[in-house]
Amino acid sequence: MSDKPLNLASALPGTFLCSSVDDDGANPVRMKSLGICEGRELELVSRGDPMIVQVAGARVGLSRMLASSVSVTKSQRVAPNKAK
Amino acid sequence: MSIADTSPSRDPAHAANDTVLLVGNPNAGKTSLFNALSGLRARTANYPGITVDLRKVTISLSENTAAVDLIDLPGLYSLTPSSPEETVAVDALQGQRLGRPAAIVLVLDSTNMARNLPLAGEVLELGLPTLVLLNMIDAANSSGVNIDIEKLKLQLECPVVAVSAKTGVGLDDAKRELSGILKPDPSALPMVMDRPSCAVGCDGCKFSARYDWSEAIAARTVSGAYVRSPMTERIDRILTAPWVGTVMLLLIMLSVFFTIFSLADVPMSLIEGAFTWLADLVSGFLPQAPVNSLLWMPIVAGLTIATCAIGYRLRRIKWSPKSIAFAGIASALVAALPQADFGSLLVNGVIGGIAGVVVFLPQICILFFFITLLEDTGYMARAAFVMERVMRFVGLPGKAFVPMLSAHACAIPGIMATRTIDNWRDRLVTILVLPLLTCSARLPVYAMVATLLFGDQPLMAGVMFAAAYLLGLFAALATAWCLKKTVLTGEAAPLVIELPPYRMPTLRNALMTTLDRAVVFIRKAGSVILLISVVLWAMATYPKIPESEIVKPATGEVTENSVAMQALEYSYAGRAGKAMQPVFEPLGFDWKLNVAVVTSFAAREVLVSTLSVVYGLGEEGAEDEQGLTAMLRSQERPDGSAVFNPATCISLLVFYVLAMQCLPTQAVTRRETGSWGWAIFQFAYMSLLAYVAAWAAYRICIAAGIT
Repeated sequence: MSDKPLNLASALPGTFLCSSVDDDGANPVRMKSLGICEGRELELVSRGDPMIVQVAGARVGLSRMLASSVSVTKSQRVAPNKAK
Repeated sequence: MSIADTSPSRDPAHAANDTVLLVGNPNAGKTSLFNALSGLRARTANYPGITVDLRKVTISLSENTAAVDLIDLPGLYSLTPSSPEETVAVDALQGQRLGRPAAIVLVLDSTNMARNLPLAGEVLELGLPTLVLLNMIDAANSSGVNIDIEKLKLQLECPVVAVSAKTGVGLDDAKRELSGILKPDPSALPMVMDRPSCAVGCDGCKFSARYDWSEAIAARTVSGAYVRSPMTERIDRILTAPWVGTVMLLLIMLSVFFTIFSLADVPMSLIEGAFTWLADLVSGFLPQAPVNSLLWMPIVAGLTIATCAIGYRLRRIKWSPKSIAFAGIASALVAALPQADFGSLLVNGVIGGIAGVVVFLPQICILFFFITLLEDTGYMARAAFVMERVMRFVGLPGKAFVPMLSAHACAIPGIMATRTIDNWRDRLVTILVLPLLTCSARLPVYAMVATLLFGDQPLMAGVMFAAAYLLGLFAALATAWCLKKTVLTGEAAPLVIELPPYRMPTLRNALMTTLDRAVVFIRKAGSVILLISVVLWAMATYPKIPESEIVKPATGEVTENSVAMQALEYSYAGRAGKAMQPVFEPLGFDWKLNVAVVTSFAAREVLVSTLSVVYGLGEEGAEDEQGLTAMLRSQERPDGSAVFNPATCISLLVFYVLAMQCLPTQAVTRRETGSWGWAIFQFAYMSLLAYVAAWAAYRICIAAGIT
């Protein structure tokens, strides 16, 4: 288990902590207001383009392009049972 | 009382009632709740400068308080808007659009408080009297979620009521609490807010700070978690899978289409029958013998003014000097018409014009009904999700797929369904290309050309139909791609979409949404179409052919159909057809075909009946398919060759696939884009495209020797 930030677009399914969102890319307002923003815990449910992320108790469909502006680290709080 | 006072388009700022705004997350069941509170009395309100539909209802909360205007705002995730609808909602909440709201009713989904509370935090910070409604409390409780309402009241420092739009639980309490916050108890202590503010976490992400606050509140007030059933989990995995999901989507939509075409047939023929009956009734009712003009003219003028008044009322136009002058001039003109012409105006212009609009209502309504049902189940979000990958190739978002599919029945519900597309540019491009897709009004034209080309080869006719559909689809996708590269540059906004839990849709909600959309369509498109059909009627009727100009055939008797043919030739429409000859000759059309093309401007399906009149078979001739085909086939050019040779037929087909010949669609484009400019752009590019493509098709056919 490492703390090195990982790009959400290239992550494997599992639970993560969002460490930062790069604001320079496409307009991330909708994504952030749905809870994909700094400091939030999220679960990557299925990979692909678009991918499915579970955040704040809701499923969100997210294009890979937006996901690539999200940096995540492995969540410390929840055991990443699906990450293998 | 002056006329203006009774006009329904009172300035909302001067309305006597207090305004209460209904706000909440998308998928929080806000619209169902609005429907449950309003019943059938709600109507789509018209506010100056807003193209977004806002539904409004005047409800009385209790016997001793004044009625309030409850307005259903578009769904919001936060007060930072990212679509035109959200901008309107945020402006309204901040008191910038509809005046300062007297109170806010905030709808939260009780099955997922942590997801809904961030918006609550922002709305409460506005400092307006707020009532919080915990919607879907029945679903939350039955899945094991319990909310401590008393604690939540203390935390949010505002009244909280648990309700269910589905069962009606708590709606009366909600009304009572709302009247309470509108008339605050003066003895109550002033509210001191411990609400989230910038102080909590301004240096970090403001959204994140709101979620932290929201989770803290939820942790203190909510016990148990909403669990998605394993069954819906499994279904969801199938429906969102890349390939299987796409196939499932196509199957679902094909069955919807099959239902539309099989269900709409009966009401459509009933409507056609009803209008034919009405036309016969009216022409039977009109006096044949001349009536004293002193009696006749006031009656006719009065009827015309009444028609104008209905039109103004529908479009909520005020009685201004301009509109009074228009009604006055129109009634004077109509009153001056000879008696027979008035009958023709009434039957062919007015009743025919209304029939042309109403006949497509069944299709529009059924389509809307199914779209709303699918929307309410939560499936539409999945449809956008799986189509995202495909649509991105042409630069459109996945959400453009359902409108594009709907447009294969009728462009109007398709254009109205583009409202789900958040990004304005993506939405505009979708609206602009939708009318290129083959709608059902083109089918009579395709059928006629198929009979002309392949009368006895059903297989070839089928291939021709498929080719016409594909041409429209290809043109729409290619145009979207081009528009994205030129006029409206930019990648499609990347997909971010909530995939809400599957829910059982309610019939009531779907029916009410359908009714609402149908009323909007009739109100906005109806009067414009009526006006244009009267203008087209006048073009095809005037100037009248003088008795002396009617050419008698060598065989003696002049038939009614031959007079009708000559009268049309003599009219402005006929002259326009002849004047257009240099324009349409490169496409292989003759002047009679031009007349039909010119009159198809408002509605393409009139092509067949106009051709029937212009080739001397009379209007009833269009019913007799074989007679019409035989007559069209026998038409010759001055040089003795057939008018409807394969090259001309193909060019005509290509023209009708691509041309913008539907006034109702133009009116809806204007409404949804907020300007005539885009409607005109749509008309111009589609006409040009149709012309160039038809010309190219004609030339290629000639070069290939297909004549």
